[in-house]
Amino acid sequence: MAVEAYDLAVAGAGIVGAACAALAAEAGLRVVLIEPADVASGATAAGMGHVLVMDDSPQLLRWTHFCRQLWLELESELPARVEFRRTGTVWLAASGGAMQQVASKAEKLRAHGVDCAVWGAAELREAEPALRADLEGGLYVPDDVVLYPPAAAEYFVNRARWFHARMRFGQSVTELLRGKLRLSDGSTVVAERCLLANGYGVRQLVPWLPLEPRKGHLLITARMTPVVHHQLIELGYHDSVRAPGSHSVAFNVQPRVTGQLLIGSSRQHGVADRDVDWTVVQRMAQRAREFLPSFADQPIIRIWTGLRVAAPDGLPVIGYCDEESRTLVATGHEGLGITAALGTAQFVVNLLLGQPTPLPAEWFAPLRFTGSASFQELHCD
Amino acid sequence: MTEAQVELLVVGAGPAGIAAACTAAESGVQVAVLDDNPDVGGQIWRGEKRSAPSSLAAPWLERAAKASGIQWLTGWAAVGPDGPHALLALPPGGGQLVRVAYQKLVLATGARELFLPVPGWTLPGVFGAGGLQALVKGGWSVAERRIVVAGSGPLLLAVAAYLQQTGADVVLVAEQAPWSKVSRYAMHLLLTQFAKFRQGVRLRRTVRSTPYRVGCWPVRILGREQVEAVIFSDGVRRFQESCDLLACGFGLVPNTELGELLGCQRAAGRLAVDRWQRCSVPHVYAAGEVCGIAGVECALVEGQIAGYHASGNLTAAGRLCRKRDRLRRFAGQLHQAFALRDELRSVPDPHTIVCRCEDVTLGQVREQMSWRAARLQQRCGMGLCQGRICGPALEFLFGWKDRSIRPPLFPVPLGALADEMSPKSDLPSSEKSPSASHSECSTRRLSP
Ligand SMILES: Cc1cc2nc3c(=O)[nH]c(=O)nc-3n(C[C@H](O)[C@H](O)[C@H](O)COP(=O)(O)OP(=O)(O)OC[C@H]3O[C@@H](n4cnc5c(N)ncnc54)[C@H](O)[C@@H]3O)c2cc1C
Ligand SMILES: Cc1cc2nc3c(=O)[nH]c(=O)nc-3n(C[C@H](O)[C@H](O)[C@H](O)COP(=O)(O)OP(=O)(O)OC[C@H]3O[C@@H](n4cnc5c(N)ncnc54)[C@H](O)[C@@H]3O)c2cc1C
Repeated sequence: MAVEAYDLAVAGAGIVGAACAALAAEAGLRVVLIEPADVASGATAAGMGHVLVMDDSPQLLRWTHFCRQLWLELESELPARVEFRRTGTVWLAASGGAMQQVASKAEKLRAHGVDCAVWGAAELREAEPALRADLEGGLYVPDDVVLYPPAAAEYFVNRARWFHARMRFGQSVTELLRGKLRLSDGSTVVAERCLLANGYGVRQLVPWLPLEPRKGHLLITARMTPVVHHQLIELGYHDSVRAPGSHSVAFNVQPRVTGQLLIGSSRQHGVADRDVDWTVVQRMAQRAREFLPSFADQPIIRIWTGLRVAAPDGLPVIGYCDEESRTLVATGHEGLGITAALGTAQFVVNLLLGQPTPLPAEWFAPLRFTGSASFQELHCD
Repeated sequence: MTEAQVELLVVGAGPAGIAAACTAAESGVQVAVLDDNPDVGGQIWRGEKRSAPSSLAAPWLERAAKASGIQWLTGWAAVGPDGPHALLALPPGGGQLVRVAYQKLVLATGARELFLPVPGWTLPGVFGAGGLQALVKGGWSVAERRIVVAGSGPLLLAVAAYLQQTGADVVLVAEQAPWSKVSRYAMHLLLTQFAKFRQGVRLRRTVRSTPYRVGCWPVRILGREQVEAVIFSDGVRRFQESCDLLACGFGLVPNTELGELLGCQRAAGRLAVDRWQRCSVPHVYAAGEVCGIAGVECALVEGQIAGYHASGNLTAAGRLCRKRDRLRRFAGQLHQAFALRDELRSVPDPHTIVCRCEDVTLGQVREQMSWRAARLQQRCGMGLCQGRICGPALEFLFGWKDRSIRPPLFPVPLGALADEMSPKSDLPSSEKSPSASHSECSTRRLSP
């Protein structure tokens, strides 16, 4: 029997692996996608599906802006099931002095060409009457998107199939060999290159990568008449993201097409179990009730957790992780992997084809964590 | 959130829960019993006439009323575990969540009806068999309504007899199991369980003017605004029966969800237990229908075994094991007799709704490879009931077992999750404990 050889083997059919497989196949590469469970059954099933521009750092700002643009360009091609909606984001000024923060955030975003508008209390009230009355205002970012990640991942898988990618579902990658991958059933896959897009699972195959899990909880309400119209996040969310110590909670609420509200968000640094932690749930519920007081009676029907994967510098980890340039990784997206899926795919395909990456390759290169001489030589002039 | 502590917590106040609570309390253990219903008694005894409970129920209800050291938390729903030694519970009428810490736990969560999708089953007027019975027990009148009772199992006859007695016109009882199996089972009853046989005969006599057809099953439910008729098949021919209401149930499914959240192993759709009714998780017992459908008597025996063992009385527990084993064997016969036939898997068509909360059709579900995929890609089981209804149906239709179960087991208002923890209180002793009034009122309810 002839052994099938691929140009690229992708481990993991989360949104990142699926998008990479689709774009690589579309670029003419012979691709195989390997997934032990179902499409989008990892972090992609657990996350919120908010596609947004973040300005934590100049790199992240450029990156997320670029990534969001790719989603906006894809809008017309996405099936209805992806539930792609430009709901926009409203960053809420909750505390005294927060309007100051709103102004400086607006300035930062505008300097990068990101459309946004500063809202006063009255404008905010008019747009989101369910919010508590004493908020000073907020920052409206109109082009941020809400979508349903598992359906988007499935769309990418179908697209990859359309461009002749093969699927190996029910198998996981257990070992990286020279020019080959070993799968859990003992078989091997021959591939010129491989891409590890298996989320937190990457740490098993590339143990030296400094990846940290950050557990997050989400709550969802029963269906109701839609009352919230934008993704609402309290300003200071950044602080909560970076806050050291065990866990942090911020108000972050997303309207679903079903009329349900998805309520976030929490972060527990270094926690990798998936149990529901009721004290965290309690703080999230308190926060949500504070901002949306009339929602106290809304029934919560399901609570779940998911793992974000983060690198110490808060930037994604995308690129070759070996000196022979055979193995790539694409992970470490923290709370932005849905946003970054298409951008990551573009990045990966450009690397594979030897073309310039959309953003400097060294920003995200895995080898930045090795301090390896050849890496320094290669990228840091 | 309030915090309370008990030695033994029992979830479910049906026969199994009552038996476990009584035996443990009588051995001096401090017990609390949670049940989401306003009355004790579980599925079968809940509606018992206080003045004249059945001969099986009476002694237990009396014992339960007398036993000291039992807190009856009726109207309380267990919404999920909080670590290995506590559950969170939602008291009646909402309010704050209460964290009930326990040393040992008995899961006596019973069973619910199995619904299988049949084209037209979402029409008004279609009920579960037990569901319709419960509605009527609760005061809904079906007098002179023409009712078809269909599905499978001994429950059908019991429901038909009950409905007939309340003045309904039961026009047909349709059992899917074939005559060969049903008659062999009746023979077995006659020879080994004469009391049960006599009970069956009595039930049959109550509905003697109603045809009891075996080996046929509903394949389509007709009606515009509401159910008007049911089409049945016997595998060869089809026939139609007009009616105003359809009561349809295909047997019972154990309520294993809480056990699963605790990490207890499941086997063949029920919680797996050892000789002492212990689950795979330390300090957790299971008794009654949650460890397999076997009837009230078995539930009572298992409840006692769990209660005795949990209170350290191994001798008493040991004495009951043989009886339990016999009753379980007997239940095995019942499962064989009323095993669901393969043809039921081809009853729903691609347009038949499977998940009623989210309006997902069989056709949509069939495109998916697994439960998880159906949930993620089609929203199957993502609605208000969280797959409690479609889950067992899909397990039967496709063999999909791993429905992902997450808390809360009952919808909980956002505000109840948000409420601050108030100072620690002991459930049984503290006067301020939210349970005190309930305990009183349910104890009052219990006394004949
Ligand atoms: C609570 C929460 C909220 C979030 N909200 C947002 C948001 O609003 N916006 C946003 O942009 N991002 C958000 N995120 C982040 C986002 O969900 C993730 O960054 C993204 O889903 C990561 O996708 P992935 O494909 O890299 O990983 P995953 O979805 O985890 O996919 C990895 C896949 O690899 C498979 N796999 C594992 N091991 C192997 C192996 N050995 N071989 C082959 N396959 C393997 C797994 O089965 C899995 O399917 C959130 C995350 C969480 C937890
Ligand atoms: C719909 C139906 C109808 C039936 N009709 C008959 C009949 O007519 N004749 C007959 O002989 N047998 C009947 N049975 C069978 C009979 O009910 C059982 O044999 C017997 O009740 C089993 O007792 P149990 O204690 O195991 O469970 P149950 O009596 O079912 O008691 C379990 C209790 O636990 C409660 N519970 C479950 N989960 C939670 C939670 N998370 N938090 C709080 N409380 C919880 C339930 O509400 C219930 O009250 C019926 C069963 C069902 C399901």
